[in-house]
Amino acid sequence: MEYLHKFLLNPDFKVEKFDNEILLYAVSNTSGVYLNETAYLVWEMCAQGQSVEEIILFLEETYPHQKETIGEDVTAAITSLVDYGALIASSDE
Amino acid sequence: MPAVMNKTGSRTVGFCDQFVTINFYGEELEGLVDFLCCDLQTGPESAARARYDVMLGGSINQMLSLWLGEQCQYSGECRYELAYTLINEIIYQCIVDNAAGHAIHAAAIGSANGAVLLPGKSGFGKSTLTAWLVSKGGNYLTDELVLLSGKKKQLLPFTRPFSMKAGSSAILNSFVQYKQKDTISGVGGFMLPHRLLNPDFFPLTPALSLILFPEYREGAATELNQLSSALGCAKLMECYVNARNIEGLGIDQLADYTRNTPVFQLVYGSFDGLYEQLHESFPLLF
Repeated sequence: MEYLHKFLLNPDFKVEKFDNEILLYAVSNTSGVYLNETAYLVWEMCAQGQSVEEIILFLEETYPHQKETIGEDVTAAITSLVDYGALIASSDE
Repeated sequence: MPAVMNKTGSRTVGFCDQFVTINFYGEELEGLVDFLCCDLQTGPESAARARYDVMLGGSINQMLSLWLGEQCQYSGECRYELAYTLINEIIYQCIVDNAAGHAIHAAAIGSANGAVLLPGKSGFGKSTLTAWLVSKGGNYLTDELVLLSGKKKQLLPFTRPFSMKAGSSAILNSFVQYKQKDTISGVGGFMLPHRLLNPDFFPLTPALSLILFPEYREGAATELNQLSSALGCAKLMECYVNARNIEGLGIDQLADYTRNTPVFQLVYGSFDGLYEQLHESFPLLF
């Protein structure tokens, strides 16, 4: 995954918010994907137009004690959301 | 359908005001239809959205067949296969345009605290676990389908005989005595009247009080874990069968159900110790 890449939210997906969790679901086929707090944060930062690199830097500053694993966690979350169809790679870098 | 036979009788049955009429040709088929449908809602024939013909005989002696108009849905010699096809046709017709509530692929029992929903796809052990729960005192509601409706979370069950996979007979024999003649059986499975476990059955539409996702895993130790509302909703969506009939898909209402109802996942490999564990966690279950 290129770190300068940005991702767009797939407009087919809707959000149902719970306390610290989120459920994304596709309107077209009503399948749902559960996001934990970290994945939810990644999702929201993608929605704000942040690149992968910007998301990782922000989270490393916010959670310095988890710095070693944040890059891997973010790319895994994004890959999973792309595979699910909830995020679409943007041509804007 | 063959036009040579005389109709013996008919039943108009359904679920949540969606009805089908089943015409039967042959007295012994009346027993089969009543075996399957005796606890379903009844309605006037004029309300039927589809008409099925169940036949015995025809051009080949003792051949069973099920027809929807001119379309043959089943033809063969196995009463179980015929019954299985017919009950699935009834479910399909009653759900395909139903917008009266949220149809969930789930078993359910009634308890002193309200309805316990056991959602899950085929093969997750819903029917066997439900039969066991009923044998311990739960009130049978369904082993296949419910409709959840309104803010009061009323649960409307599609009450049919237990439908078991063939491999379930050994474990079922450990807690219920039945004879082959009580069942309709075939190579793939068998159907068992729920009154064998639940002789004092009466129809109920209780409010939802607990969501328990069962998962049978051979040899697994029993695990009971509470799920978050979000995870519970995600799992419930996997069993939600009529979303496209509901305005806005109804996910917000499903989410409300899981926000306001305890949600657990139960992994089990046998019934050993299960009663004690469930009774400790849910004292009003039995």
